[in-house]
Amino acid sequence: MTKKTILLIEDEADLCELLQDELSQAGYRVCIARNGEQGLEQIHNIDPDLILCDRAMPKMSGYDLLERIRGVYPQYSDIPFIFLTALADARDGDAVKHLKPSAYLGKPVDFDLLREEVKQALKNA
Amino acid sequence: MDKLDIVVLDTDEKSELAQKLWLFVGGQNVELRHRKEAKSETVDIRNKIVCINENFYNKNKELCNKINVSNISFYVSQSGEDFDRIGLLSEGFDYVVHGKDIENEHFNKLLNLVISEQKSLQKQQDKREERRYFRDALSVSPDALIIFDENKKIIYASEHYSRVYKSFNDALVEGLHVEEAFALMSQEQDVMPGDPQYQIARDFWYNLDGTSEIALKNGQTLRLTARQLPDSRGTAVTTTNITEYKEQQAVSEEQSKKLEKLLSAEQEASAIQKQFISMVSHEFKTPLTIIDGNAQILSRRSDELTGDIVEKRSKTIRSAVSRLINLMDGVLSSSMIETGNLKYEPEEFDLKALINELCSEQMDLAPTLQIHTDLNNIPDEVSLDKKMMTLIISNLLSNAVKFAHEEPSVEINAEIKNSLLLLQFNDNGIGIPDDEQDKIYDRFYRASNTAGITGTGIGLNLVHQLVQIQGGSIKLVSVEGEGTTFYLTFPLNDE
Repeated sequence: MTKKTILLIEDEADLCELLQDELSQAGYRVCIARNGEQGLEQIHNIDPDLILCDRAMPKMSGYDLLERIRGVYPQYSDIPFIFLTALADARDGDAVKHLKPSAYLGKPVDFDLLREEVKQALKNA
Repeated sequence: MDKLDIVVLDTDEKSELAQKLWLFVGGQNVELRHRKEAKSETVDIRNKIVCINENFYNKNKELCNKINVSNISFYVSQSGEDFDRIGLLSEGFDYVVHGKDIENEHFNKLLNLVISEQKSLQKQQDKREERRYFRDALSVSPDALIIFDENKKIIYASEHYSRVYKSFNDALVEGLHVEEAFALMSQEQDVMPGDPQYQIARDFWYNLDGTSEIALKNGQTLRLTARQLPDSRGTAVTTTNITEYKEQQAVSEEQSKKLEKLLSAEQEASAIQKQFISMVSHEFKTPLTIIDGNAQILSRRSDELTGDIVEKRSKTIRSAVSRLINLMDGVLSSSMIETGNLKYEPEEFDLKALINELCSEQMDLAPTLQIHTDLNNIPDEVSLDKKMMTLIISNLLSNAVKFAHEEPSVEINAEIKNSLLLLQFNDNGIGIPDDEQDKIYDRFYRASNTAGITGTGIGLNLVHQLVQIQGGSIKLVSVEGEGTTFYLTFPLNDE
């Protein structure tokens, strides 16, 4: 069975490394982008099976990115997309609902939960 | 109307004259009284018809001459043909009659004529009195009144007009056309064509309709109201001085504006506070996530961990912890400054070493960061508050990383000039928009081009305050999209 590819978009270097480590360990191929713009470029190059993306980033936020993906790229209009967020406002989860993310995970993130959500999202795809 | 009084003055107890008169006037609205002595009440008789019998006159001549003047007086002669009619008339009696004539038709007619004349006279007097009351009441009213007939000519103007307008005293006001009256008024008020108030007033007086407000040159404001009289018989115009009302209105408007301003400032402050709390929470969560993630890996993979991995994970944890501490220091210092609890405590320390240490800490956190320093022109030791300097430098460095365009790059120059330490930080970041540079040191203020970049908005505010506490100054030159240079100066103690 070929490895599923996850595109990880996160502007915090340490966090990026950590998540890459954890997800590789869980058996996925992990590609990294450090902001929304880079992420958008990468999608075409690596054709990911799932996107794991920080909510708040400079230049292009996770929200803007998902909106672009859902709206502009028909081939990725239903790609599994998981938000990671450190935002304190619980209402933010509702604000992104219409873009149909697979999950909305708060930081600090529990790795067991993360693995489970990734697995489920890939299964449902 | 009151009964008409006829008083008969006759010394006879059973006055024949009074009885005869009663036969004539009985049944009319007349009160007939008989008096035989000159009492104080008799003297008070006024505006009455008085019939004075010869016998009474002879006894009270002086009194009778007084009574003549203010009454309609009949002298009734009883002594026959020899009375001097002309002499008595010249003494002030209105009529002189002979006692025996009282019974004939001629006297009857005369008396009736006098009675009816007296009645109409009294009516007129009553009307005049009523009119006087009306005028007096209007003259003390706070509102002025002017009445025009259907041809727009003045029928009546209350005393206010003659008090305010001299020409209303001189000119015969009654009968003056409204347009002539307006010309007089505007001339006296010195309101001339071309003045917008002139046009408002002219429109009002020429149309005599509705309500207008006119601001006079003396600062007073008048409200004019025109109302049609019933059956279109003319127009009544009232003028009310609403200056006080206007002033109160202006005051209350100003107060409500002030309140609105305060409220919106309060709302803004509360919104900023909320945003700050959410930002702080976000800022804390990121290093906490790093610590927690590393801890999860260490605990779950304890079997397969090598020394290298443990060291790497521990290092990451420690750097996240130091990031948390910096964050806390910033927030705490800022709040201590706000409450006035941060004291300036200068000490001798090696500034070069501090700058280098903070640079290498920052490079550990952001490996792509390039830093060039030129610190050769400063002494080995300077006397400043080390804690404050640490916060200032680390904030400016971390800003350079946080708000970097591409690869962050910082140049730091330091030198001493005229006992002043000059520090210069130059970054290649996103810059600060021109029109926001004066607000950039405000607490919680974040420039409009920082969307998506997390931060609390206290960093530069803190730097600014820490520089000022040490007696220094800070200014910046920034080009949006190219970078920012901060120029800091600190006075050094020569001792």
